[in-house]
Amino acid sequence: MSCINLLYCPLVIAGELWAWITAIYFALVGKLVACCGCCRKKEDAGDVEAGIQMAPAAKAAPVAKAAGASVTDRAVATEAELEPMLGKQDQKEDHGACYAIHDETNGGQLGGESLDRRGWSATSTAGNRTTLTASVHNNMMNGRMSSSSHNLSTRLSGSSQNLNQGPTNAYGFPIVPPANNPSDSSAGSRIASIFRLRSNPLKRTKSVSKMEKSLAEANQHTLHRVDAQTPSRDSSLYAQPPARRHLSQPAREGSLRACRSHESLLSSAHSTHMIELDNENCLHPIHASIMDVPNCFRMQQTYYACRSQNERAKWMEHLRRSMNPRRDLQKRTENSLLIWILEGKGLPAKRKYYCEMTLDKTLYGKTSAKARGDNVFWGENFEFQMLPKIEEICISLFRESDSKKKKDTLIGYVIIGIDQLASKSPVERWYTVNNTQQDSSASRIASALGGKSSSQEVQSIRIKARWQSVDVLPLRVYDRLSELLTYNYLDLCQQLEPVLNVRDKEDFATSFVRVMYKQNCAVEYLADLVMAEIGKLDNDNLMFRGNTVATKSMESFMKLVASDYLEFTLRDFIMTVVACEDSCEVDPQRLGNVPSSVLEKNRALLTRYVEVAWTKIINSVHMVPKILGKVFATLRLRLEAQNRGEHAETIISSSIFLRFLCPAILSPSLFNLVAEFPSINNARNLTLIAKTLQNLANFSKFGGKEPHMEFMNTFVDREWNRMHEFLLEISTESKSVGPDKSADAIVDAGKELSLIGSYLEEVWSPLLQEKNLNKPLGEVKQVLTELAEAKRRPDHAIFHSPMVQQPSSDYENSPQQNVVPRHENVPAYRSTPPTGQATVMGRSMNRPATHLMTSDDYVLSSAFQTPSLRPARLSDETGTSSSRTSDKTTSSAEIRDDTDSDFELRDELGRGVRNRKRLPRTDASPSSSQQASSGYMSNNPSRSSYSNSSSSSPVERMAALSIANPVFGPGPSAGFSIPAEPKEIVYQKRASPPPYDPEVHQYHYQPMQVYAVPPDCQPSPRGQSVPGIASQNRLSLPRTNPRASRTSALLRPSVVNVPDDWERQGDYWRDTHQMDQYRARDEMIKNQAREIERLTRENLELKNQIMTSTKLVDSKRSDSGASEDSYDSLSSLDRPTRKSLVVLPN
Amino acid sequence: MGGRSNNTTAAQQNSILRIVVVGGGGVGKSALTIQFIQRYFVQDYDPTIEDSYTKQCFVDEDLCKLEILDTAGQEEFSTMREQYLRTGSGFLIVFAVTDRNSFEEVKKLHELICRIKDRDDFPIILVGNKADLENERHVARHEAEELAHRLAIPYLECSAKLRKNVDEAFFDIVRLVRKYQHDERMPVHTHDDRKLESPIKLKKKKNCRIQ
Repeated sequence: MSCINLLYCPLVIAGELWAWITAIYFALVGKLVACCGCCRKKEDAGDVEAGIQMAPAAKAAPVAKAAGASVTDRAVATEAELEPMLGKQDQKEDHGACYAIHDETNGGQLGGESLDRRGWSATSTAGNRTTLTASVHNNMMNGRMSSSSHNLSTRLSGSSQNLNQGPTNAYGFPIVPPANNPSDSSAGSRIASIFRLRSNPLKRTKSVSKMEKSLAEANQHTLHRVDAQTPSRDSSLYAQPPARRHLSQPAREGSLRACRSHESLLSSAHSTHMIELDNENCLHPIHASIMDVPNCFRMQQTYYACRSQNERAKWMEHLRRSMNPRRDLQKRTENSLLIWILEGKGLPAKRKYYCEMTLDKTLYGKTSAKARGDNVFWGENFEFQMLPKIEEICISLFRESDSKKKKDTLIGYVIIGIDQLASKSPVERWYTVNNTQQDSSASRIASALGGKSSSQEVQSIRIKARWQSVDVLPLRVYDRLSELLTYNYLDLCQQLEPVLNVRDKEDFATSFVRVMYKQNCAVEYLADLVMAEIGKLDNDNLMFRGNTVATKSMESFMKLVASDYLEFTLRDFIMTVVACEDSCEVDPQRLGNVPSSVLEKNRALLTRYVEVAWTKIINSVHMVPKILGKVFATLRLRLEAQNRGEHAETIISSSIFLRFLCPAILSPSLFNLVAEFPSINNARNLTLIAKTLQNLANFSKFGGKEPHMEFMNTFVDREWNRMHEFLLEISTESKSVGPDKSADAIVDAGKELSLIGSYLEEVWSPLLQEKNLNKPLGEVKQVLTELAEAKRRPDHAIFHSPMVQQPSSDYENSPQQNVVPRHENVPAYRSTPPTGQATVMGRSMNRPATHLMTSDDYVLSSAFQTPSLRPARLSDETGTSSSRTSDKTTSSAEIRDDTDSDFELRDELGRGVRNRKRLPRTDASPSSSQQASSGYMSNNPSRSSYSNSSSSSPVERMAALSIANPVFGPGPSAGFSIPAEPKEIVYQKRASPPPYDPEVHQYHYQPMQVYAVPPDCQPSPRGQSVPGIASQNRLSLPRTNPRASRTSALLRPSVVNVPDDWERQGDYWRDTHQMDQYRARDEMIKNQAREIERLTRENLELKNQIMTSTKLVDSKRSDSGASEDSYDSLSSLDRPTRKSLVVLPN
Repeated sequence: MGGRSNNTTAAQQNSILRIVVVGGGGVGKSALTIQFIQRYFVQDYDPTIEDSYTKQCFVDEDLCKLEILDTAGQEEFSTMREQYLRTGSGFLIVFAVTDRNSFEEVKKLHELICRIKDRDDFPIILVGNKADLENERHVARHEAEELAHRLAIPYLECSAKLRKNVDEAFFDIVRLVRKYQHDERMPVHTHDDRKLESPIKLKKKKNCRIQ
């Protein structure tokens, strides 16, 4: 609650100082740059280059990518502003372009969301919505954390002002237009994209040129004022990254804030976004009821708001990954709580009541206040994920006070021990309210006065809750299970259908469909299941009517992938209906004796409602998630193949209407469309609306059943055809151009698999086992046994983690640099579009992962093998620039190489063996492998050395990569001078004179010269190949990102590819291979194996080379930003981390 | 959307008995209801969202007004249940003898009702529909009876198509409700006490013994 207060405070200030702030804001932009650049120097050319490179990628990147990239872009852009080198003409030209692009962005923003709030605020502004943005910063609990800021954008309906606080603006304006062509590699456009960031704010203030001119001045000025106490900031603003300073001087920020009101708020808001990530428990979603801002989550003391549930899920997932990259390699426990606060009774009938829910003293949710009917009915459900281990739930019952009194009265509380809720299905019961002292005395008085009323009935609350604590084993352990499911889902579901009790069916289906989704099998799975069910039915009319695994799967699937669609389609409408108290009751019997005019009025209202709803549904056809459309299309095709095409419509309509849209209209609170359970009146209205729509979807007319609804037949008649069209459209694959990316839902595969394992354990009777003895499903038992065994084993036994002691983050800004094994390259590897996916797929398919251990997941986790114990500290500044200066990176990487070599070696050996085994298989698919490796292979002479390499860990690979990336940083010179080569210009243009340590620099770049760039990559200017070094060939980035053409390497910032993306960035994969997924998978696996092999070899080489250079470690500026960038692009894993951190602060 | 709650309940006649028909999807709840109300068998299987009917009839020579709520069988609509389950005075839990799944759902529904009503027993009748489809039967009669026995509720097998035991089911539930309300010493358990009432009126509810 306090955060809300904090929030408004700055808002007021902002309002008063609106104009002034606007000016400041520009200063802040500059500052922002500073923070963005956090741990590297502003002048670093590499930075700029990286940023530039990133920009196009950001454009291309939907959702998360955009967010991450935009930060970088901004930083770069700002930097550019400061650089005289930059031609003004360029800027001007760009402005034009920028505007256009930006507009586009706003227009097209609906579908492709960028995860950050910035995007949101900008968008909403453009849409003439009023956006109030406030930034609040808190000191982090930890001393190390100097300050954090959070901006919450709140839409205030009443006000007409558009207040943008400086920091927010700074964050808010750059939106990366999703519409941009990802493959756009032309220099001009890249530059333009950078400027776009800047142009937006300018446009808003409408004094572009002036502002621009005075920008530098303003910067100085403002900063000076704001940071009077932090002298380093103004003059050396750009030379010294604020973040670092903050680190070393944690107290300063606090004092600053203490003595300065808004200024300090503004300034610090983006000065540092360091977030302590040492504890996963510090991250959890915030229920809308306590924030008044939907889709928030909390990290430490900071709250972040997302635009949709899906978006939030992504953010949280990525953050969690960042916090514990090894998550999927460890045993972990996932706690979640599902709780319905249903109703209360025995309460005196006065005023309104509400409940607050605290889990172990932390407020998690609050119901709306409801007046007493016969009971007080809330009917609200809350779901909390990612909970820490808690002991008890406390529901406090409050009576709302008169508006004049300040405090609501605490009536009493209910304490529920978690252990009471641990059963598999929700526990629902009445809990007696423990009256608080005060209240009980009050009631005593009341009863003494003769009002026995309330005391007659024991005050109690009906609560339904389920506490789910899932022990998740390392993902690898589930390989066999997952495989089993993937290949035998149909059989399995059919066998389980009769034995699963109804309640479990839903849970089981939910988990199952999620796993399938994760494995990219959802379409097949659903189609097979539904078809099988149809085949079983004797009566076609009953098609899809019951509650079966198939229907439940379909339902869960829709909830999973189409939540954003639903929100987009119906939220506003539902809000309208719920906000309106007018009844549209059309049943004369319910109306009683009222004049017919009332009936007419109600009918008109109902008709209008229905028409609006239907229009909304029709108009959002394009938003139907692609994958859902695919499911429908597949079903249609299969039914047609069976000459039962006429049923296709029934199935589709039963899915989307009966199972999704209509329930959402009827119970919007269950679908998170509104928080509150609709009042009786509203519920009735919604019922009537849903009924009409369902009738339309049934293609049946009113009459017979409910004569009073017959007047709606005109509507049904009229829209009949459009319903046909709608159903056809959503089931026609080619036409459904839904936002695919945004539909990507987050699935915690480990958790779902673990759940499935437990369901199976429960229902897989010896009888079933017997039945399946010699069939594939016979394995179930064995698999379950294995799982049980793995569960008993200690963590380390399951997963060999040699590097447990390593601190995780490469973002380490802290003075003491930890030598960390960095496997970021792994992620990078993933991020390469085809390979990455393949890898992921392979992984999820289990086999590759198991054997290779190099599969993405493996790499990912192992790469980061950061014990969760060690705090991973991420500064978003680091993240901000996708291309972070690699001073530390490089050095640390090198160090690490040495330190890690031992275990790496061990690791490698094991892996190598496995890889080799794998190889023969791999060769089968030449085409795909070729594609993937084109760049790579050509450059890698040392391939043969792979097997005997002493150590090739992803870490080393990464290091190598980061050191010199021909593509990004054409050479050591990149930082210092602008190379003559025209192609390079784009990147180097921005290069600022870096305070490099020449020696270090030199050294690091040497390798660069050596390496040949892959054919499609731009040759580095100094690309003479030195034979000796060439053999080590460690650096060429392209290789790491082998398949990537230059553009793709540049344009696809790996940053963007947040974890979920790796796993199901399925565009390529899905589209191409969906139909024969198995084959595709095999290919992927092979590709993956090849690449892994190659990479491993490279790593070895790199490592060797690095070993020699260990002494240079100390140098801070060993590397150019460019190289770092390259590294970034390669390492997708890294990306997510940084990026998410970076973006979030908004 | 501040917690406004609308207490205007249409049709607040005192003697209305609210009968709620619940059960799995496609078991014939609507067919049963319509057969009872309008005396014909609906052939189509259009899923119901929520339909309500009123009927006046004599049961044991006492006139009663019935409000019958025909509900959706799909789980997806389960939150609505909250609402109508709370206001129902009697329930028909319907399953189809041809559909094992629907039979499995009975127990859950029963539990749900009892919990919401916070009673161990409540006027509920278990109805096995589609008894005419003897050759497609998947739930043996004795199974259903056994379950009914366990739940301590009556069991009726009926066929909406043949209008077999349809009226009986509804009349029985009316009798049960009456008896129950009599036992509760609450002559008419109507939903009008949902209204915000004065404490005096609340006294009526005193005999709900809880826990």
